[in-house]
Amino acid sequence: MAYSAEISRTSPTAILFLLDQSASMQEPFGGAEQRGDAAPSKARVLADVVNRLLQNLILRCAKEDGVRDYFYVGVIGYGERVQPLIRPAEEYRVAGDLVPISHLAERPLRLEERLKKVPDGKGGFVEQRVKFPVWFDPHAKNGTPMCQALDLAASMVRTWIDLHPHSFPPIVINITDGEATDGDPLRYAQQLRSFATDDGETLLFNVHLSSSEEPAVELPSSVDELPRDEYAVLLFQMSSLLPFTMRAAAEQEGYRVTMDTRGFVFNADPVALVRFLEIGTRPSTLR
Amino acid sequence: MHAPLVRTFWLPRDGNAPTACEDAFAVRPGWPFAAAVADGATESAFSGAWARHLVQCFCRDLPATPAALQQRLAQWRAAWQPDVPAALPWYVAVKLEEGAHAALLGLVVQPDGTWQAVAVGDAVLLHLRGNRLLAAWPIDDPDRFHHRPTLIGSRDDGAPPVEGTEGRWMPGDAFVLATDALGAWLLGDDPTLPLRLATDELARHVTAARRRRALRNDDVAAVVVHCPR
Repeated sequence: MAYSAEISRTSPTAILFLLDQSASMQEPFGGAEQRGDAAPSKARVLADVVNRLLQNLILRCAKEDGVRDYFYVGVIGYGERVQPLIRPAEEYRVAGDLVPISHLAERPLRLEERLKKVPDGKGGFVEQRVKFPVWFDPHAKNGTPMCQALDLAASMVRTWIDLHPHSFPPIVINITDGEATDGDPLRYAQQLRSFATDDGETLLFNVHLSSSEEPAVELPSSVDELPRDEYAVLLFQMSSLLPFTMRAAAEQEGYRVTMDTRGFVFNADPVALVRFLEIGTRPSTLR
Repeated sequence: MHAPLVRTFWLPRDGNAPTACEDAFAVRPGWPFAAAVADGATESAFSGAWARHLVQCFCRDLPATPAALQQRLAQWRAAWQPDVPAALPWYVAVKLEEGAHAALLGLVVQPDGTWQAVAVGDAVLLHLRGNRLLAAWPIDDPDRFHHRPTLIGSRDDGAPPVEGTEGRWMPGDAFVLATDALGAWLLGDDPTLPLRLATDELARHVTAARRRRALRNDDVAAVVVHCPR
């Protein structure tokens, strides 16, 4: 069965983030509680999203004696330039320009203190100070060379696949406001998705951060569920169908999924997407 | 009457060192006889140590009903202190806050011909007579295992759902307590294998089943209990 390869230290998989850093990301995010000028910029939300995705991935791999390298991670920024934002040290070059996740765990840019609501044991919540690791800050400048970014991602994915032909296929998570300025990203997305390991084709998931205030959409199965937004439709079409194993995990978490469900979210929290990757027993009480 | 005889079996997942095995078992010899297996969750830290703590506590306190187990949990949690390094990386601090998690299955066999079992999570009890499976509990279908079981948390205040069952044993009966991956495979293949195979033969079967992906590559542990004749 496709997409069933074990994800482990001996058989890791690759996760590649594509971060839209174009000038339009300075505009306010439409999915925030605050409206208008009070809303955070899409660039701020993107930084939060990618920092939380990395934090979640690391915590899934963390044990008392360190972080297990189930994942190798790459990050490509696209805006003023299209470039990898993290570089592997010389000893990791074998991973094809990707960084073992333990390496990222040990090297956040900084640790911020944030307030988190935790259950008080009596049915309510209390606020608790927690350390929040930050790897990326907001950045927004120039156009949106998404096609170039998908092209660079394709070449990184090909190198990884050459080195790991039997592994769970690479997962690419593109976080953007959707407006490519260098061509038709659908063609590049199709090309990227066509590179495959024995276990299946590369998965491309899209996270659409929009200024539109239409309701959030998570894991839609058809264009009818999307807001009336040409970029949302395009990003939906670019996104991979959720493979069976991830659909099953999504269903267990209460998501409504079908054979046509795609890895796409509109103005919503994408952390669930990385939770659906199965690496071992996960307590039902942990989100 | 002699107390039950036991054979134990464990194997870390392929690619892991034996010290990384997060499945645990314990046995209380004599009457009442007790055995327990526990399965520490991959995605929580200190879960191997928590699993070992749970099986030892079970075999010491013998809480043979859900109510008795619920009653003991607070005490077991309070008595557990993981071996925490002095300088905590941020991710270990978060994992410590979340607590350790494990599935637990405990069996108590009485000399009067009765037995009781309790379970939280997806470890499996097989009751065998002759070369036949009488019952599997709390899961009897290999397709019903998944990756998000309810487990016992070391930090949770709440009470996890504990299941309980009981029955009668006959002379010569056997019980197998198995953690989830092994239990699922035995249910789908041949539940009598642990009775018929020597430990090293069973290890070879498990390794071969992992290679052909009939058995999920996970830590496995089992206790085989032979009731006296």
